[in-house]
Amino acid sequence: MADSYATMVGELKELPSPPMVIQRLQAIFVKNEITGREIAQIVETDQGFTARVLRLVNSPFYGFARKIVSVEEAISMLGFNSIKQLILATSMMNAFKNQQYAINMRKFWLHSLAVGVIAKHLLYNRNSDTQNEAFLCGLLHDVGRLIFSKMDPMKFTAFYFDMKSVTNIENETKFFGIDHQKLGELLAKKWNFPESIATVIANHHTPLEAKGHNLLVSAVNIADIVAHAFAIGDSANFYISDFYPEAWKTLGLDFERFEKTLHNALDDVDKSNETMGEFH
Amino acid sequence: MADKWELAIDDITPGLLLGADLFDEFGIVLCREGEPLTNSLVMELRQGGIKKVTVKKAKMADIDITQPAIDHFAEFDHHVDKCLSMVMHHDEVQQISGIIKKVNRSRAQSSDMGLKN
Repeated sequence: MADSYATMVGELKELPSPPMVIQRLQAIFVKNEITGREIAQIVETDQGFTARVLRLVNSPFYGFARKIVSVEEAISMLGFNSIKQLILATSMMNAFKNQQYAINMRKFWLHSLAVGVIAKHLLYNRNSDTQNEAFLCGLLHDVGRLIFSKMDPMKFTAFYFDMKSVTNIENETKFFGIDHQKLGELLAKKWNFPESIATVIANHHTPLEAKGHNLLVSAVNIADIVAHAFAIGDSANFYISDFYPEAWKTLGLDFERFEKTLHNALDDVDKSNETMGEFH
Repeated sequence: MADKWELAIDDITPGLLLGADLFDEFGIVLCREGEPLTNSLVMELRQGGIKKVTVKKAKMADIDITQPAIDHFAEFDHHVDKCLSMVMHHDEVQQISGIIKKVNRSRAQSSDMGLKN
């Protein structure tokens, strides 16, 4: 019997709220004028968090030629929007760290990271803000599955590993009363994530239903398929149950360019080991 | 170290063999002791809900030198075909699948070249 949607949403109250540093940042993000120094001062009140942000900024995914040593410098290099999203994503990943889940967390984050990296490369001809956004969208796209896994590990295992069935959105809704896209979206909204990230989380398997942000949704949808086909990590799902030609067309890639893109993306995924420790 | 030990399906590494016959819930043999735990076999076991297996390390005597080495490319291709089987009717997916297999071969060959150099 499926749990009711209301019960699931109610249980979300049990999930961690954004940490204090994020709550303070979100209070200033709404201001019209804001300086990099203001953001840096708030982030740097939490040394552990600062270190994690800087390690991600200095990872191969951002590709800076030299080491970034301060949050203020990271802001000047990445820009306001990118650093804001990176800070939010880092804090959400941190919220799921060091906890027990009915899933191999290293493999889960490796899959998520691969989706982020591939999505970023699929948008190789877009500006760096869009590429960085695609990376973070990919990194967080399956966060709803983590919530399933945390809320009811037995049920999660029964669905993903024991049912031997093809897992798709309709089956999830029948079994849990809600699917992992919607659950992830609820968390993203609770944390006041940017609309683009919440939209991608909510539609990465159903790109035609997205209201806006079609490029990001399409990039993550196709990147997810590619990461599964390459068996990079594990998101507790094996079969690809849907493909949308429209999502592929939205990317505007020819197959020759796609091949080059995969080589570049997989090179970056190979470099990911050092950064993986940040995630689980 | 014991000759055989139990291992979570997620922790299986290449080079291990199945250390005991594996049965399904009805007592039917799924795999026989000594079968190499290849990536595709591990994936199939996992899909079948197997969480732990008894494993052992391969000894020289276990290796049948009359048999060809495991074809990792064929294993990978099999995985890609299975993973995408439900969407393979799309022309785009057939092309994407072909490119994924080609990129895998190309990267494996580059990696071998790197090792030789």
